[in-house]
Amino acid sequence: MSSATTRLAAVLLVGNPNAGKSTLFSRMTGTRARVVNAPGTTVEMQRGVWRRPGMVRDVLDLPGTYSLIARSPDEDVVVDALADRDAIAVVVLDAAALSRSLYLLAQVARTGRPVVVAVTMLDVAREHGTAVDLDVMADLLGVPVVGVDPRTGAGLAELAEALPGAGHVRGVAASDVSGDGELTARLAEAQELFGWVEQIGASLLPQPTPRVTRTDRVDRVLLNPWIGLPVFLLVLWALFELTTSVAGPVIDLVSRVVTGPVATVAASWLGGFTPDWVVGLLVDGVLVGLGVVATFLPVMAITYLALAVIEDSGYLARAAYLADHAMRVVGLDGRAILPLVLGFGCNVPALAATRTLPGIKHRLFTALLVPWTSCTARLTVYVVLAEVVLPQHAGLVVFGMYVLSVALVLVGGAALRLTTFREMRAEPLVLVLPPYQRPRLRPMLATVWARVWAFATGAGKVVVAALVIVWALLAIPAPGHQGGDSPQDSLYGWAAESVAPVFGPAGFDDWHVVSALAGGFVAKEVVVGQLAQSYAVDAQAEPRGLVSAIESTLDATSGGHPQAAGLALMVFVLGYTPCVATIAEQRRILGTRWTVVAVGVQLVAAWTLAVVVFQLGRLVP
Amino acid sequence: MQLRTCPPGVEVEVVSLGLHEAALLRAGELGLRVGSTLRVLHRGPLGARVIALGGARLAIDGGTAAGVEVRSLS
Repeated sequence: MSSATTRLAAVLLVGNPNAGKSTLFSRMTGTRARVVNAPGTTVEMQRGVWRRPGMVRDVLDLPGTYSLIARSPDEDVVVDALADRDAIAVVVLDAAALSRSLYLLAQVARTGRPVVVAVTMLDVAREHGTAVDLDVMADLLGVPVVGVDPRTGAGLAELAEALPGAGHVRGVAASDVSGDGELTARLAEAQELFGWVEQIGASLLPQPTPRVTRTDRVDRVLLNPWIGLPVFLLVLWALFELTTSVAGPVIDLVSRVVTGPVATVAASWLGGFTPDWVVGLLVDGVLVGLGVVATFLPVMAITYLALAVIEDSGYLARAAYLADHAMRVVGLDGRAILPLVLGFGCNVPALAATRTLPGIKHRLFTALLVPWTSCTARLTVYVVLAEVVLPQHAGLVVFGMYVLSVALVLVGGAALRLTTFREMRAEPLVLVLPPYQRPRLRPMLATVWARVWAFATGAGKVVVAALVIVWALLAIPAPGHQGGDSPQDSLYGWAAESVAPVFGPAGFDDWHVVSALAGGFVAKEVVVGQLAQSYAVDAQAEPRGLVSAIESTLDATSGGHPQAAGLALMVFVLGYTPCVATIAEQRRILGTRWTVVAVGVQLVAAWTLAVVVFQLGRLVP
Repeated sequence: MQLRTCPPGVEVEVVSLGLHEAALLRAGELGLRVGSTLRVLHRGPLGARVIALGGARLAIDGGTAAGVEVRSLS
């Protein structure tokens, strides 16, 4: 590397949420960014490289925060990152909310990090009548101050040039900002900084004259309960449609291409020079696994883009405000409504949507509940089983499953709040409403790409590994068998038969059913297909044949109560792990330990509910 | 009077904040402190309010707004 492009001190981007920090990061790093977890946590941040003529710097986009008095793992991550003695802190100040931003700047200054100030939202501040003179600000603070517009990239060159001049903020002495100690003491320290902020603010800001801004005028409509709530429901509906109706055909196409022509060509090419079992492993295990990951990529990209539009436009905070009262019933932030609604389409993008929640505890809490929202893949199973349970009122039975899904989320939420999340009290809502802005496509696409890539590489490994294991279990003959085409002759079928008695109390102690449920771990879409395959029935051509076969099995396993067993089976399908991609995404968000616990709790809850439903159901004459 | 009873359009000064310490700190960090001057912009359900604090806009739920004592400046 030439001296002209020596890697210089890293840049830490620090700022309030919605200050334009992440858009600035996208402008700096382009597509050379990666979503990474902060060391030892599941808190996400973006890492990238900022290249300019004569300059290469690592850039870390830290979680948006209002304070360094850490009260959440996200804030801990920012505090820990600022302990890097070699890095420069670029503090992004929102000119439209300068007082709040200056407070964070004062806290960063107390870490002793050299600081450069990047001021965003200058146009919004002008509209508010609170425009600031950046030269005066630089004189007052004693550090370089640069005006930037992250949405256009204006001011980026000046920011790069200002970095070597990074310094210490005048009037703020370095001290401990670890967040340890009594809250009362922290409150007293904060009061000192409020004093500094007011002093700087008074020198910088003109006394604002009340102005009704464009944002205020839009909010007059969108925050009016009579208009705002229907609009909010419309936005939720559009989001749901995007992840189901729009993404659905794309998912089907990708799935057909991977399992059809791609698998055929790969099998025939590999068959020329490798043994059959290697072809099976690579095509039916690895390739099918990659296919499953690929089918999720379009829906993830669509979800991330839609969420970016909702977030960048400023609407997400309004949605949180409008949904706040309803979500408080579950003890959640108003923003949690987005992932929970998306979950009824597909749980995987719904888990991805938990990133819009303000703290890791809320993300964790919501991510644990999302798998109980009934995704459309489960609907395929309900439709078949409802014909067993109550053929004359199959629609009503399916609707009942959705009601039960909502009840599971509510009861699950209440149970979490009484146990693991006892300390997570419903915080008072004091929510910043950022000004409305037109989202910019380029920085949004860069962020979407980084997040989709993180999903593909993070969740993808788990999905492929799981499908290779399933392939191996299907390929290895069961003890005492020589192998054969039926899954019953494989280790997979043998394992299903061995586990089946566990479901005796729920009325479906049968290998056909249990092997299909095991397949449901991979994806709920395969459950009906696997049942049809094990009964040697063409489910498309003769759906009634499959229903009759299941009914006959359940009649035998339930002692003459097939309807109760069918309902118990439906409840089990709703309650247990949605699919391997959900497990993989949960692992990315929650970490391995929480994911294992979540899968265990889902299995136990699903089994218990199924047993209760069957035992009560069979009392009905 | 309580913030939750203030109609849109009025300008008030915060007299006291009846919040627990952690919430008091967070409210202060967001600019809602004793002595702050604010303007009520919108009324929400169950006493919720949207306020202007300088150039910033904050949404406050009804329960929290009930704990914010203000003095009218209008």
